[in-house]
Amino acid sequence: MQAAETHPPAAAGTRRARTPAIWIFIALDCSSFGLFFVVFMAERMGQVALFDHSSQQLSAVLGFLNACILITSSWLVAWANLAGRRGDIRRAQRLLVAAIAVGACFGAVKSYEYYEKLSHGVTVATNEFFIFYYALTGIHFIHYVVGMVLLGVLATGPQRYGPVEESRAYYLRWLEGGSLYWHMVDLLWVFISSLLYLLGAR
Amino acid sequence: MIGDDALGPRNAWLLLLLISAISFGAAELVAARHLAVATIMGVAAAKIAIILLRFMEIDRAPTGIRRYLYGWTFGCAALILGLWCVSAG
Repeated sequence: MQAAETHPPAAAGTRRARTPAIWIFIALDCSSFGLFFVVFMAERMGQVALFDHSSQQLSAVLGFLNACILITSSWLVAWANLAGRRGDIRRAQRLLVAAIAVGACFGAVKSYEYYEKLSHGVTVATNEFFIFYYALTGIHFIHYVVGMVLLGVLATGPQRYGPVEESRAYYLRWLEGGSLYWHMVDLLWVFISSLLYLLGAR
Repeated sequence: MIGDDALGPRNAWLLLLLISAISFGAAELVAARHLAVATIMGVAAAKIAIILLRFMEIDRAPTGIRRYLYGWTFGCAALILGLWCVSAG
């Protein structure tokens, strides 16, 4: 009790501040994907030729294109976050709409790729590489869809969160959280595209 | 030395696009696979570090999370490269 009075919580400084839940979520999600990557590489060790041959059936150009799309969308979201922090909510909303438009191209490219593979009879039953391909890209795609919905909600602005001043602060917290989530979708794609499209290329 | 402003979000975006192209080029054009794969994984780790630093502003995150995510990034890249080298013989 006395210790609490001597060192009040407010004086403890930022080091004792509560970790925002979004960072914990990001760390856990990255860990799950990390395990997936290690299992993929371990499986590959027993079937190098099969994994490399299967990888060559993927279009590295589409993987690269999707990386560029997500990087661009992520940059627009980072910019929106900065605009929001400066108090320019309108600009933040416009940038989020642009990020969604660019991000939609990722969905279009990925859908085309799935269609192209499935129409040629390449499914999860084809071989072990394609089990990993559909699992990794599929789980990532779910993350992507959730991210697009989040950006869509954020692009509508702070009006829905209540009175002006309160809603603005609340909106900015959500904008920061949503931005971090979208960047995570981007950074996960970096490893996924390297593993699936690039390691076995040529 | 690259100043803080030179690596702001816009320049980080351009740098990310450039090194993505290097990684793609290494995968498609470099015949020496050890060199190609080392480049691919090195670039992947660098890209994630740039995203963490410039887009996610990880400096504002708690220290434990910051260390963990950097460790995850470079640990995954090193492990993937190591396992690839073992399988390549």
